[in-house]
Amino acid sequence: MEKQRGFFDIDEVNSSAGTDGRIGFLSINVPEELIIAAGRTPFRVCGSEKPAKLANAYLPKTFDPYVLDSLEGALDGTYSFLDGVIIANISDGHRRLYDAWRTGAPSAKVFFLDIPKSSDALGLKAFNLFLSHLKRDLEKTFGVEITDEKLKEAIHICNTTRTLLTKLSEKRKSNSIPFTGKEFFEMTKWCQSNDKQTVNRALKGFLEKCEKVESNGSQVTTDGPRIMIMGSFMGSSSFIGLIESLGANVVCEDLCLGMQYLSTEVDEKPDNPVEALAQRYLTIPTARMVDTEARWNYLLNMTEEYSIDGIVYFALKFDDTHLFEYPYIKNKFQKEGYPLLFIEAENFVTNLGQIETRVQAFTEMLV
Amino acid sequence: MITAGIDIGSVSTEVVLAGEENEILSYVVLPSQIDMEKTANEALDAALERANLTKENIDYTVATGYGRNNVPFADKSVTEITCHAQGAHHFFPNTRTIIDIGGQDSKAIAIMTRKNNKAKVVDFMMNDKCAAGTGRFLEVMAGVLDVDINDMGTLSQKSSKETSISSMCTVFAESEVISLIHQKLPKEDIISGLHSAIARKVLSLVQRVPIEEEITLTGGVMKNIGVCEKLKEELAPKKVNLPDEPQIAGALGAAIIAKKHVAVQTN
Amino acid sequence: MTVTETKRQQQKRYFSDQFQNRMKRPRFYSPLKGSQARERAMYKLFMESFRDTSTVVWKSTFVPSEIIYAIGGVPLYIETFSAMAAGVDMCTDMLTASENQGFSRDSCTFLRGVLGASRKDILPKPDALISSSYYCDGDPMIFDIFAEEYKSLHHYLHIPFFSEGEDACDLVADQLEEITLSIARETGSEFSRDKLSETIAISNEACNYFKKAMDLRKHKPSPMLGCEAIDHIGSISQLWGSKSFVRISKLLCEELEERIEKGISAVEDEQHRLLWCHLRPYYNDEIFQYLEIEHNAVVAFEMVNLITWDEMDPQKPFQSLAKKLLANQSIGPYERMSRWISTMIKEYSIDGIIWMAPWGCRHFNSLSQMVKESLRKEGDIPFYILDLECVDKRNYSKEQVRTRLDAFLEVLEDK
Repeated sequence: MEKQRGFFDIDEVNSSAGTDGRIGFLSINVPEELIIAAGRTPFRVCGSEKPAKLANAYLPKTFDPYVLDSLEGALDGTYSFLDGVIIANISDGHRRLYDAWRTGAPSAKVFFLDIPKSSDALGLKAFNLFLSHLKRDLEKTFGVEITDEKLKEAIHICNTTRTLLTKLSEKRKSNSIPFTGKEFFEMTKWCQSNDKQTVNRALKGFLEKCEKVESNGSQVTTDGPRIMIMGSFMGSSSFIGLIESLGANVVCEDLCLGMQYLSTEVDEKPDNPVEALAQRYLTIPTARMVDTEARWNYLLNMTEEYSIDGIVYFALKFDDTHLFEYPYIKNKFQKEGYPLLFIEAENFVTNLGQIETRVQAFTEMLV
Repeated sequence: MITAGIDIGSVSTEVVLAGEENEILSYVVLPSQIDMEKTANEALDAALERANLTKENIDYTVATGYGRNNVPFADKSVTEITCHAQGAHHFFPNTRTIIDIGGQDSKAIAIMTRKNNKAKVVDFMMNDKCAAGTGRFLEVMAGVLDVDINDMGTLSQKSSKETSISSMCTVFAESEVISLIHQKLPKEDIISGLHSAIARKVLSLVQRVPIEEEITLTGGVMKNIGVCEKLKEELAPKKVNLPDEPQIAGALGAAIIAKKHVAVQTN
Repeated sequence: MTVTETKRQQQKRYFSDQFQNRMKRPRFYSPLKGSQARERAMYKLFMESFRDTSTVVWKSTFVPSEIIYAIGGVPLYIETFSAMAAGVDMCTDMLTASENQGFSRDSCTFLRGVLGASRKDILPKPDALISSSYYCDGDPMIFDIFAEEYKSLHHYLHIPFFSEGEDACDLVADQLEEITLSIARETGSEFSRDKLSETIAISNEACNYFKKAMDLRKHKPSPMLGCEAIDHIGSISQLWGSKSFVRISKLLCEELEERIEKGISAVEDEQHRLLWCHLRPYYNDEIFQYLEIEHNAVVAFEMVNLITWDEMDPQKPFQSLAKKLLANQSIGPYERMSRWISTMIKEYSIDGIIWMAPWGCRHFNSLSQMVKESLRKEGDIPFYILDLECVDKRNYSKEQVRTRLDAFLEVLEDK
């Protein structure tokens, strides 16, 4: 019976089309609306999950593993089905990935989206400009016109996805959660790589199922400590699965394959849709931004709304953004009385055995 | 004309005596002791005895390896990079890339052959501060697994299903291996996984010099058949050579380089 | 009579002692007057930064110091603090302090040194901070932490990736203007366009001399040791816009001219001419002594002394500063860096490149392979990536470095 309730049992999820007309992206700062308005389907590049081999010829091994994994996929042909890929200047690693991808796979169409770290007036002005450059590059390469109408329509579709995911995520505020943290992660991951109309139908279907269970009063109370997970890019749900297998519930996350993706919506009635996109996509409160106060308020608010017991901070080796953020954010959370567990890993499909003891001890501590 | 090459490494010391045509007259491999001078003298004496020669017969001696500046009887010191290149090239004249794994470090060397058939180093890379791609890595793991390091190669041959080791870092890998032992996985499968890990790590180094055929493997760790096989798998379909005595490539190279200096001296 | 020193006075005295020790350290060469003047200027700058009346502005590499001098402030390129500390054997303590706070040993040691020093409360307090998107991610992140710690305002400067692109110059110029005006407002400093124009003119004058001095180093044999020259870090200096830099560069120029005239060379019997990329180890001079003196391989030029910008127009100060900044070889796709290195190889008759790769330097290490490969396609210049730390001597092994340098010298000799 349990099985039927799962998101991945929804018909739409399984009926998803092939891989034609996809444009890859590696950061949630890239507006999917631009890809959709260019008549393509966004595809979230999550890395090949194979040990980097070919990538070593271009980038050092003391480097963001997500970048190395993605490059490996670009070089071994995993991503050759893509019509193009958009790389955003979100870190030192990603901007060099732009160099390595186009040098190592010369036939690939690699687009670059510059992005500031600050969302003040000048930052917005700059990002607006960078977005219009990307729009122009896409138009030129694919011989399409990205009109305001198409953009507005795409904004509406993407907002719908975000609204539906938010509604589902909010189900986790209660103590009878209709799905696991692992499942929510898989769900957001799937949403980032499939046709948005299909995505929206699937989400709607799943939401209805969840609400039906609620109105029947047949939901099960979930015990165990409530965990928030945050940190580096994580391409697989195995770590969240591990935490949940040890009796804790991952109820919210500050991850790009998670709640960062649905943080806010784009203005649907803008005079200038590109400006509206700039406003939304530059204000996602991620660790890379210098607007630390906005980020801290966002995180603190999340811990309160989701009644968190403890926080797991996951950092990939050599991911400077998160390695520099961790000690700072740790102090802040500790002052608020939240216990924190720090896990540093070589890659996101790392050996979980050695992490297990720490996670288990942490959950025991929270009970 | 007789020349001597001596390679003092962290784990073992090799001496090669070479004749007119670079033919090997004798060689010895001894474990390195703390007193490098003593080790050097003992190794040289043993090699001389084997070849029925005396010190006076040697025209020129080149020392290489970690202890190259501590050999009192050497005429010159040359790094192990240049020496391994010459040695490997002598074993396999079509060699373009050399992968050497020693006790403390590993290196990838790119060479070209000059018109006079001598090898020339064009590029090289050595391991960074991390020990993961060196003999030390296997030594630590042998200790954890409680097996003799010299048996690891043959043990891995019995493996039917390689265990995947995801950690590259020696410390991480050590705890990973411990947890695999606790899971009661066969030792030979774990060893096989370790050999893959070391091969991957070394390969990340090789990728940084242009890899070209043929590739020759040298160094003490290549005595381990398991590591060599994993490297061959990773490098396929490129042609990979393994000398019969991979650990003497450095000393042989030193003896060959010594010959050039004799030629200069006598001219 | 007991006189109680204030915290600031204590720090100032402490640093005064340390710096003076450093200037008196034994060296394997006798420094040029220009180099000594530079050390004194840096000393003075740091001493000023400890003065209560100073307006101290911490800045990232690429933030032009001219805007800070123009408002009468003291620009501190705070990472130099780690380098200075490494020179007097203090940096290990600072690094340990940062590691105890939870900062990863895999990240930039310059920044971690500063984090540790701030934890030990031995830094001059910033009145404002300006970070930029180049060199690296670390800078803006930790400047934010410092802004909170010292209750000062943090300004962020975005440098576009495509620095040659349309609008890039305007974007940077607008930000520079905005930042300068807000800092003047926040710190109660006076800003006038005339003062800025004047500062730009001073910067130009220093640049003319500095460029000329660096051009003189094209002479064979080289008139200046790389070990000495690399400390001038021309392109990222915090002295641009100060009168002292004019004096320093003028002195350098005159002395190098004189050396060439008299036939004095930096090393006897120059055998090789190396190009040095990245900074240097600050905890000792061993490597340079080994290469330049013991093996006659002179470091003929360093990437950090490359001047890539044209003379600025004092009448268009922000636009000119933006152009200067965007001209830097480190910004943008790796091909730009390769092009500049090719130029340096030709101009300085380079026959080998040493590319220093500190473990935690993501920005620079990410370029190594691609730059090396593109240069290899152009010609067969030996290029060695040397894994070496700038300020953390804990992993330094003299023997290991020597083996690598020996092998590289063998490659050069075998050419």
